[in-house]
Amino acid sequence: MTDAILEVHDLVKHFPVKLPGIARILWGGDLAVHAIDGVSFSLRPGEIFGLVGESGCGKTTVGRTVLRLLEPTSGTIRFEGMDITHLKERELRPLRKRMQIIFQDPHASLNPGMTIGQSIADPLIIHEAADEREAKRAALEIMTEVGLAPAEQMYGKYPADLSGGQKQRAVIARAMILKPQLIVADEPVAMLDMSIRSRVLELMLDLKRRYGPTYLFITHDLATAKFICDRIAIMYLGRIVEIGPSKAIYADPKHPYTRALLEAVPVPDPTRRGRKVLPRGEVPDAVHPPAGCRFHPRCPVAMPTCGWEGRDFVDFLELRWLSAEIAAAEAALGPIEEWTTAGPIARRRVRDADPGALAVQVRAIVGDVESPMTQAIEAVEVEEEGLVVRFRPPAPLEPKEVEGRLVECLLY
Amino acid sequence: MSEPVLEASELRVYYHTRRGAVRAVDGVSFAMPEGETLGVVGETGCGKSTLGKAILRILPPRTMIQGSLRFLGKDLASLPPEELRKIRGKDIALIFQDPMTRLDPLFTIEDHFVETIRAHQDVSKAEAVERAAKALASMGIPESRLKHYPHEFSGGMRQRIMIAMSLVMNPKLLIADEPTTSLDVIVEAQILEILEDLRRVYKMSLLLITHNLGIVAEVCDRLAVMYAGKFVELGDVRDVFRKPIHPYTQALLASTIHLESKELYSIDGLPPDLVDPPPACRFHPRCTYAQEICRTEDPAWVEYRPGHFAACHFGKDFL
Repeated sequence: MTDAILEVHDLVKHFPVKLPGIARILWGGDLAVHAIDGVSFSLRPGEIFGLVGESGCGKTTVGRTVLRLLEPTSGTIRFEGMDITHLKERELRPLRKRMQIIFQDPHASLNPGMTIGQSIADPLIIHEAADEREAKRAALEIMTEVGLAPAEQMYGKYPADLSGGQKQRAVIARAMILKPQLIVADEPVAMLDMSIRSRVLELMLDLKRRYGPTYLFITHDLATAKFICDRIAIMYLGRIVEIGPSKAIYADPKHPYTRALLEAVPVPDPTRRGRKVLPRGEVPDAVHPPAGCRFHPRCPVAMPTCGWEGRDFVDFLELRWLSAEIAAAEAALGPIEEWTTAGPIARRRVRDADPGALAVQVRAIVGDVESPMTQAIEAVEVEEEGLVVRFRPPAPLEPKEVEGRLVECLLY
Repeated sequence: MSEPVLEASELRVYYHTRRGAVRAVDGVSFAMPEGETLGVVGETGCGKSTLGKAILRILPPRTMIQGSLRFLGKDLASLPPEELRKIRGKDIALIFQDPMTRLDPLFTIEDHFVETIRAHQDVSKAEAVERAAKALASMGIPESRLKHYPHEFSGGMRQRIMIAMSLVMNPKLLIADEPTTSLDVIVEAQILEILEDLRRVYKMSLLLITHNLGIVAEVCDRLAVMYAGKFVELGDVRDVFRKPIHPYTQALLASTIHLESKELYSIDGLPPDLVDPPPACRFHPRCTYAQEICRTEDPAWVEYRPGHFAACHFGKDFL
């Protein structure tokens, strides 16, 4: 696909976490938040491409990185065929006319000291695309188009005089005034009330019909994405787990995470209540993403090969011991703080007990509880410093073509 | 029917500002029977959060409160502060939208629990801790985390801690103000199921304040729609969703984007300024059906179907 307007290949963005000296020694170097960990997609001219996921999945970071508002750690970004991954700011400048962004919070996106009209006209002046008179004329024109009417009167108002919906219209007008090829819209309606969301979405669709920009539409709201996106990518913890035409994905989601997300969306129909099958827990910390498939600890259909590791075993014990009875029966294995993990290994130092007896007890639990996690355990052994639970390595995981979309899941 | 848990009658709450009185709640009446989940729905600034705060009387000083609010027959307005404090957090509990800002960052979870429990009951610290551990375990949080500080928990866990804390005193009434708004959709669904289970087990009444109609459809028995400080419609969730009477309710339902939306719908205009709301029916400037009478006369609160109320001059046309 060489005609792609935006092509992202294996994009990685890590945010270093600065640690004090002693912690750095303990962890063996600085840590990083793995915000994006190898993401590839491309946008066809004129389409609306949705990047969907929960908070912390990296979708906003993708939006900012492709515009080079953030420096990518690795990977490539091509805009209109040109590699912009390492362009200097000076070289990027002329391209910025053609790529714009709409932020989530309209209240924070407009300079409170500038009038609405000045804000909207400003891109033309910054990019020296028009003199002040022309810029004002263009601003008035686009203001009328986005519904900030009467434009003459709105021009001199300050952001504080406007409602949230009006501000978002102004932000959209400012992004549109340069007639950009690409617009990154980061949760453009999330802060707006239900009754006006639709109007802002309609405006975006309307402007697309008229000027044909390509939208990278970032949202956590599956219903909105379904309504306006041609294709979507579902992100989880820095990875795209499913990507393809919206129609196909909504009609028949393939990745267990996509299914879980869709299942969780509240249905505004009280006659269709029912118990939902929800993944347990929450999105884990992106500093230490889970091994293998990052969704495996929460996945309802996980398999032994999905990436189980030491900390999954410790989590398992912790949950198990929520029951006071079981906790008492297995008190010799606790407390939970005595367990440490390192990748595929969970370890408990044993000082005051017979490690052999503890190993027997752990083996009994593992044999008793049939789960993909326990099946992934290779061995429960006694080593010199104590008890060790060792996991098998996960099966290699890569995106696979499944019924017209790419899915990253071992089920396929 | 037994005595309602909560009964509001012509409740008014006006905030004082330099621009004049903001009529956040302006004549709201309803009663909640025991064990009911009532959803209060409306857009930003409609007064729904003020309603929740008025019940607990946690409003800024000089806020004017009129009308009556009865909790299990007791008039909350006439209670002296120390009596009110005994009810707050014990018989009536509150959970907020953003759990991070409601937990004190300098105190451990255990401290929070112990303080809450011992403020209301004369028990030993050890017993309070034991009860805290049980309450946490019921929310799926291990006892070992009692000593942790709020920042060490994820958003969903913090909200579960808040719920555990509000329930540790076995309240009769739980007020939940946008309890899942800052959470992701999966965690939101988890929390809603927890609330649902708790309500069944403890027969607690729940006043759920939200802007999300999907949530109301999933967990509430009845629904009140609030617009510009007033209830415009109240009824069984199924009735209101199937056959909304008030044009605002109709419009709000139509504008909700859900997975089966076929078209986009929005309501023209903006919610009014509550310092100077429109006369008569407050929705008339945005209403497609508005007639002269809507501008001149207050619509009556009419029971159009058994238990299904609305305030619209043309309510019978929408039956």
